[in-house]
Amino acid sequence: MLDPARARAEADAAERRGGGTLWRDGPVEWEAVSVGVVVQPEVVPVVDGAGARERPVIAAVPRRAPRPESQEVPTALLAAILARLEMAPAAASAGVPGWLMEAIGNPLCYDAAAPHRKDVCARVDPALYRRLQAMKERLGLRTTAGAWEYVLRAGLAAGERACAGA
Amino acid sequence: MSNPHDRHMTRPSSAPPRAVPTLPVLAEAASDTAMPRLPTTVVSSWKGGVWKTCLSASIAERLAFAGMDVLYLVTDDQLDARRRLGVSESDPDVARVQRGSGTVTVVGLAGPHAIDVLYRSGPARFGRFDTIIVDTPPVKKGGALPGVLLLAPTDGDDASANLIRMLRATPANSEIVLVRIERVPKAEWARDAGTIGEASNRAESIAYLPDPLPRTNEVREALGRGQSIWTLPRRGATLDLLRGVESLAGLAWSRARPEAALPALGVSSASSPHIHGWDDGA
Repeated sequence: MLDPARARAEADAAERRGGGTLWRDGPVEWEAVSVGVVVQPEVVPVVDGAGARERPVIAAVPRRAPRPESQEVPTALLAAILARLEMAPAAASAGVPGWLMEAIGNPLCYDAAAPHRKDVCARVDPALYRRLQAMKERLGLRTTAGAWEYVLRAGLAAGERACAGA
Repeated sequence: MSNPHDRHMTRPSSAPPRAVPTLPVLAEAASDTAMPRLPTTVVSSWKGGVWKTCLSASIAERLAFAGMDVLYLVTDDQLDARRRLGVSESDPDVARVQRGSGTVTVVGLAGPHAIDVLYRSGPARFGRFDTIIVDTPPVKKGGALPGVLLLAPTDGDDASANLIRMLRATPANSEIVLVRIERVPKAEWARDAGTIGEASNRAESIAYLPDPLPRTNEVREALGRGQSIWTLPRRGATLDLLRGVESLAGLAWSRARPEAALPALGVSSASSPHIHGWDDGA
């Protein structure tokens, strides 16, 4: 049951305190602030045998399995590589250089699900990803990872060749 | 502000050196390395009703029972913290209460004045203290104090998005401990704590209290009448809550006195042991 007089007095006191120097903007008038010791009946904690055994217990937050590395693939380069590779398997006769075909190798030899592969999350344009999937189908590859390897072999070979010539 | 996509980008090795950081970047760095003048524990969550004041007041009392002199800074102008300590509205603005061989000095301050006490002029104008406990209102900036132990309570899904946003703004030199209020299965809380850690981009540096803390009517009623929860019978859910707060108090203690563990309840670090059944008149 609320005591009306007490409720009003407490609200008034809280409002006065809120308007005091400690709550106002600007410099505090520290000389107006003093520490008052509040006389209370002694507060005696209840103890038991368990108290002595209680020690800080916290834990590191659980973590999910490491997320695959996330990298933005330069989509212009990837698009260009795909455009060239989409000509495969007739690529050899379509003007694709021998060094590039050598670097790519036979994708049917490395398109299996291989446990040694590193998980990589590539953030690419959705349309580009659809092209990758389409190429996987055209080449008859078993896995998307195999299609990625196909593209990466070509891209890396081209990139390294470009760097060597720079 | 950096481009959020930068972390996905591979920088070419031939990229030119980065430009000299601009002033705002330097300001952020300074804020990330600032330390309070005394070891400080902050209880903060960007949500009301998650027992921030219960936790902060109870931790302050627990440290005092162990012999510490605690400055309890309250930046929530509702000032419920005073009532939790049995301090009435007619008592002085800066009120000191005795708990065992230690003291809790509670003072309500507007945010800028609290920052002054914590990081600039220090708390000496109020006395000598071993540590500072800060109770914050449910605002995002409550989690933005550098160099502190931040205890962040949450009571469920609806609070988690705001909690995550608050923790993203927490300086890197503050330690974070997540606390679940309301009982849920431990495994569920562990999973949620992991999610909060990862979403906050702080999974490496966030810890959590594995046992959710129950809200009990017994404790709620004691808080309402300004009775210390440490005087409640140690049984059932109340005991579970007390043990959890004990663990959090132990963390706050270790920031001020890393060389020694928090003494058991009833034992002051600065006095002879409290003998149950003799010292308390039971």
